[in-house]
Amino acid sequence: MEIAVETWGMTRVEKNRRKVDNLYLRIPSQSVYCLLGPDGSGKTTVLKMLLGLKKFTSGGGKCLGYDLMEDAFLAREKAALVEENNNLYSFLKVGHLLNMCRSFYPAWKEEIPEKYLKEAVPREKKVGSLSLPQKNFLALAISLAAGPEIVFIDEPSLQYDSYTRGAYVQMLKDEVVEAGKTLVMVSRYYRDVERMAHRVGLFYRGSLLQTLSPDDERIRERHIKVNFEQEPPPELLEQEGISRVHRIKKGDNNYLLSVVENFDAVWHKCHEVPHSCLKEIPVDFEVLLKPYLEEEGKDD
Amino acid sequence: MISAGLWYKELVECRKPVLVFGVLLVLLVPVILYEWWIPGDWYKTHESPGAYLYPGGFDDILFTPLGELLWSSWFSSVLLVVSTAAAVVLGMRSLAGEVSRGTAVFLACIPFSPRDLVTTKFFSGACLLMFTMLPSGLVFHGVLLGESRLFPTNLFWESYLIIYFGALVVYSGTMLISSLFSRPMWAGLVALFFWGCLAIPLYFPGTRHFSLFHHMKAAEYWTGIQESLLIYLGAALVIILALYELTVFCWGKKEL
Repeated sequence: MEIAVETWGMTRVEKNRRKVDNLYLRIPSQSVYCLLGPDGSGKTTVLKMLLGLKKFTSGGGKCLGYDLMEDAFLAREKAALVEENNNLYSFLKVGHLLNMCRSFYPAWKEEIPEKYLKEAVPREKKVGSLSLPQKNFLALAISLAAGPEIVFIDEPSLQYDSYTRGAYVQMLKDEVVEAGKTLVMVSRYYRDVERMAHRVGLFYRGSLLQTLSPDDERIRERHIKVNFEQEPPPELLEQEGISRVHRIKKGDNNYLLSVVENFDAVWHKCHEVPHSCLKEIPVDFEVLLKPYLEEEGKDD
Repeated sequence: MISAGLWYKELVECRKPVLVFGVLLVLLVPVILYEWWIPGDWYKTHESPGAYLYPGGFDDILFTPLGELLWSSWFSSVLLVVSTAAAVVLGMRSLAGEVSRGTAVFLACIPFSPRDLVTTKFFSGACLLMFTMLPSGLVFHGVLLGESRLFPTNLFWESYLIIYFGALVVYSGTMLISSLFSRPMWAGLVALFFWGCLAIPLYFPGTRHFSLFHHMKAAEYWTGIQESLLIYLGAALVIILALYELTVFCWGKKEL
């Protein structure tokens, strides 16, 4: 098995704080790996270190066989990075930006921007006037048209509606996963990655707590917050797929449902009952990581 | 290697300052030619050997070859100040601007080394400075020739070249400062302070030789003390090369 990214004891200290702590990673080629963790846990720093954009305090690493301490520049030539808030050149028109990028890469694949940007991102518009999802689409299309061997994505589908998120994920599936390239993502939402990831690393306070399969129940859990107008029928809260029911306030009909399977079915059933509020809320990372944090507390 | 795409981006990005400084210089041409009045005591301060001569209030010499020389030399002084300001404005945003708006990471991931990037930035900056300075020189030249005045063409353009190389030194130095900062405004302030300090020796006869701006004015060349243009250009090239190498080093080491 060929390894695309490998790190050993990768550590970075910033202002006496271990931003990344002794990270050991082995990401096989042609696989999809996701680093999942809350804000401020150091995920983006890891991503930048894997491209040699930030220095190591200790340890080492390789990306596509190139030593990250010595030859990171060579690795970056074969890699693409799509950042969370892609700051492209706002004063250029989309068409001009694409022309500029085309001049950088001899193996530029024009069919990718043609296919994915045709209607979504007008070429005559200035980059600065695009919405954030449009900018991210443009950045991803540019990165993929360059023909990289490995793609790094920071928060893949932040602030997208479900349609755009689906289109974004489809582009990644078609052009990265099915094209046999390696994809490394960092995210704070499991939903961003559930449809693609082969392995998920739980990352917290600079440390990799555990590497999980994407089917693991702990990260599949989704939360529905619902406020029923009357007491809901007991069978509604006992249906298949609901792992936990939490009544937010005693005597109230305000519930938090933890759903592991059949999310859509649970959602529709709740929708059929009169309610004043029904929404999905992101999984609280503190809850997800609770068993690990408790273990850490015991060690202390 | 110079990237054509990046070159284009630089031209589009910097068109506003180039336009502002270029138009300012062109507007100053008729002001200098027809309206400028220089107090007589300015002349006295520059009567000493090797000093730079300014026109103004000396009607008897204005329409002689020397008079034209003086007009053009005064124009050179204005050109020096404006081109230095343009070089600082272009240089301060060259690298720090990429960091502040977050495009430095994008540039780090394209298949160009830090050296390629700095080279492209340097040559596009040189080109932009040329665009800033050249129109005013052509207008100045054209107006004097149109009025059939006697005009030392060679000296004028040689002085122009010396100032251009001086502006390139300022641009390279500001680009080096820019590579150390993440905000163009800070890079600009530090560059202004630095070049301001370098201007101080200009005001003292004993130290003026240590000032870049004294040599940019090419006073010795104008007054015939120094006859070789190559000494000015060669010295400028050596300084530019050293600053360029330092910028490549600093940019290559920068964390993004």
